[in-house]
Amino acid sequence: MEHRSAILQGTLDLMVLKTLDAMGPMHGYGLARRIEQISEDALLVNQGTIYLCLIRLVQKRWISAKWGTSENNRKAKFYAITKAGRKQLQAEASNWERLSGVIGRLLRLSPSA
Amino acid sequence: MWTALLRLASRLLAVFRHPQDDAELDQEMETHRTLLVEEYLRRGLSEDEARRAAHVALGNATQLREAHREIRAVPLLEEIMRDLRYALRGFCRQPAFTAVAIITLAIGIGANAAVFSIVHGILMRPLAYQDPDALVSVMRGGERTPGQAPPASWISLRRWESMRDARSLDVGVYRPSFEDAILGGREPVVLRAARVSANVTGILGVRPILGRTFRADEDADGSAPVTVISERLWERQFGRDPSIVRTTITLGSAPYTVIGILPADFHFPDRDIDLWLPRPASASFIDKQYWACCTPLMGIGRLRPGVTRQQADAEIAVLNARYQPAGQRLVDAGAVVLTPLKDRLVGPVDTMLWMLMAAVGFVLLIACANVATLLMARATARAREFAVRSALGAGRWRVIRQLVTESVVLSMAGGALGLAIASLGVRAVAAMTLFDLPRAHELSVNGTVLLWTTAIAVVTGVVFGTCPSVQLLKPSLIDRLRQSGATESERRHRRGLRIGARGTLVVAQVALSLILLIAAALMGQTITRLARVDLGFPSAGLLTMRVPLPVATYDTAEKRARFFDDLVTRVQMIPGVRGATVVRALPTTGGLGTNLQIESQRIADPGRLGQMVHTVVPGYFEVVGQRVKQGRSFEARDNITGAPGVVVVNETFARKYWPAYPKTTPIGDRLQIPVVTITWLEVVGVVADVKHGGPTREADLQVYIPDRLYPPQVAFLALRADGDPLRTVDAVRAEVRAIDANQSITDIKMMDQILESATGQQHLAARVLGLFAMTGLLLAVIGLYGVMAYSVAQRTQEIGLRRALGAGHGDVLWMVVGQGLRVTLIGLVCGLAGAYASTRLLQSLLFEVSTTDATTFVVVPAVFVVVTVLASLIPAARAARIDPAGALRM
Repeated sequence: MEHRSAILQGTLDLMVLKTLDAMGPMHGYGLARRIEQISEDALLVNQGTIYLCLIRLVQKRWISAKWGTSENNRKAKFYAITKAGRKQLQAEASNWERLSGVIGRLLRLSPSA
Repeated sequence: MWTALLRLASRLLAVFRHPQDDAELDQEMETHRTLLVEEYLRRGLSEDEARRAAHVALGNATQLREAHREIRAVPLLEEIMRDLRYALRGFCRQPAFTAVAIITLAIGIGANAAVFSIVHGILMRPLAYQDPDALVSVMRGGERTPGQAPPASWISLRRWESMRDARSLDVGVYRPSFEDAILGGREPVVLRAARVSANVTGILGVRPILGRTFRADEDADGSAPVTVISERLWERQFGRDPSIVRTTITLGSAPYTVIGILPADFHFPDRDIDLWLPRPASASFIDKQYWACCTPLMGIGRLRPGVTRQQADAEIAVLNARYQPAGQRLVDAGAVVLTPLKDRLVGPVDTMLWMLMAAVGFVLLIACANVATLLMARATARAREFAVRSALGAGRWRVIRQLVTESVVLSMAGGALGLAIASLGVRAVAAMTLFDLPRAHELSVNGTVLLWTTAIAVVTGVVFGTCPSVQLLKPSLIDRLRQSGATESERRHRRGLRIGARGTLVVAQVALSLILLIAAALMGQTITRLARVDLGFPSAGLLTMRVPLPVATYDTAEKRARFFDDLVTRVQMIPGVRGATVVRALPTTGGLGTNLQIESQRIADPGRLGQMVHTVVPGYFEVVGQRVKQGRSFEARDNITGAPGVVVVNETFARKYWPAYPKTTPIGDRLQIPVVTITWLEVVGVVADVKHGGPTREADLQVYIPDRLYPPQVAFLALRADGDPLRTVDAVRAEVRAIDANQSITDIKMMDQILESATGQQHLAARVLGLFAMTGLLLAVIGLYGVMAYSVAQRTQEIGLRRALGAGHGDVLWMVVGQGLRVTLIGLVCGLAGAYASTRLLQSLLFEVSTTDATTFVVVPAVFVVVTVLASLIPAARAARIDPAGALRM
């Protein structure tokens, strides 16, 4: 998992933050399903990988974790974005937009050149 | 490489952290799995398929857990690495501080590791025999009292035979000391041979690496002479040639068949035995007819499987009663008792070793206090740095962890260096000839010692690492940031009489090192008093060596007497030799005890083996330097076959049987010594007492007879020479070979060496304690000096102010010295109380010195006071030189 490229990892982080920001606290299963739906399996090798991403984000204090009860009445950890996480999300998002704008322009330019 | 190392370390760290975190992850995964399964079931999969699909979707759980652990460990590891780097950078900036701290710790930890290796190797580790807990010593004597060696007396062959059929244990016997066996060849060598009963190897559970051990019938008189040799001898003399087994070697001119080889790591009953012989009672120093009753033997037993000590004791009690029918007097009467073999072997030294362990613990505490003082001074100097860090967001815990990391780094470095010191120390003790430490050959710096050293290094690191931390916790860090130097010293001044944390450490140091110094002083006095004891002859300059004559070739008294006569004559002709003589036993080397009759005061039962009989050649008293008090010394005519029998007694003997001595005299009376001869011997002289049992024992009853009457099989040659007597050794050896080419000498020692090893425990304890006490004193004085110097530096402005306000040099000097003295005096009072309570540990080692010797308890503290005054004079002088104007402008 540590062999995955930094870009992919960064993307996954960003996605988790964005999802939590948009949808409120979620557990690992919910997050994994959500990301699978959006990314069409491009980001998660398997669903377990989500937990590696989550523990990293917890360590960075961008998200927090709390035990709660899942919809099937089982103990599950619910993750929520923190203030620092929102700040990070904003910074990363604008970064990403800038970067994707640059890449987009670059790709549009190339054929005509 | 670096990342690989980091990953490895994080994996290691994760091991310590995982249980709860792992459980949490498992719980999460479990919930996830059930949710997945439900989802798949909803999609119409069968239960089995759903479960399989969930498994695939979730991925490999073990791999995931591993990866999770690694990620969890990373931040902690990073923080530790950061702390480490920071600590190392700090130490590199202060090389002097670092060196002092590490060396101090190395001394403390090293000394501890060394003494611990010895205590562990000798007292704690099980004996190096198979199933050692079932081994017992089988001796006559009482139960052991705590702190004392178990009392024990020998048993006879007859006694052993009475226990051979015991059902609860197997009993074997061996001779306590090795005997000399001369291995024939072009260059005869004297070997260390042990006499054991055939079953001893079986009892100890040792297996030969080649051949076999003894059979029971080889103990019997008249069986073919056989020997088992050690692997060391096999290597040294026979180049590990396997064909040596079943061949014949010459021992003392007689052929012996080698039947087996025992491994090099088997030592019994002494270390470095070269070969073992059966028939334990056949001693060359006793006539064959007395072997069964009177050859002193030691018993060793192994409890049969499932038998308890109590059961064995009960059976032995029955055998004891059967062996001692009322009314019949036996030389080895008295109950046989079983003692664990280990207690018997190491009992004599355990008090000394535990005492040294305590002493070395003190040294470590003193060293730690020193380093703690250093670290505290350093931490105070860094108060601003910490305040800045905490202002920038570092938590208090973060700062403390930094300090602890730094001190652990220091103590680990000290520990590593200390381990080197320890292995040198242990090697020195193992090789020591001063004193025959039991099990010394087993000593090594092993895994347990390594563990112990690491443990004390870490514990000292954490414990004294927290001292500065605690100090930092007290005032708020922000206050410190605001504080200027002036308010700091003001606050200090307000504290007035209180001595503070640093002062407390110094008090502890002073107290501990005072205890060590007093103990060392008591041992030192013991040594001087031992040396001052008049043994009855001048021991200095007397060279001694042992001359063992093999029984096979020197089978008659005539042959032995002729050999010794010859030897004395020839050695006396060696240039530089002033006098030479031959004696059966030198002081402290044992001797022949026997009973006797006095013609004028015959008693029906001559009783105990209370008298020592010494066989000497004429000239003995003159060479050794024993004064003749009455009558005459032996002359050449006394030592001729057929000459009238004469005897010389010592003054104790004369006083005991002629109570009015010297008014009445034993001279002219006659003695009968049955062991020697039944003819009556005339007393011709009385000589001064010699403390034959060593300086700690009173002189015993001694009679001297001319060598010709009863020539020994093993004798000592003693000589005095001009210049260094050791230079005559080669000439002596040549003369021995000139008389008999198969003969050799061994154990070449100065008389003083022999005497020193007789009180070797005291000498060893005195030297080691002395070393520890001096180290402790040095460390304590350095500590005191450090605290004083630091306090003067801190108070520079205050002192400048005082000077400006009119305080003179003397006032400032006295203020600083007084501060040092106050701390010292408190420490001395505590130390005196501690010493008073603890020196009784030394009781059994002291000689003619009380454990609370008044002079020692006054002089040592006085010396301490002088030393502290000297140590605080240096910073005091610096304080007195402070320039008021300069200090105030600071």
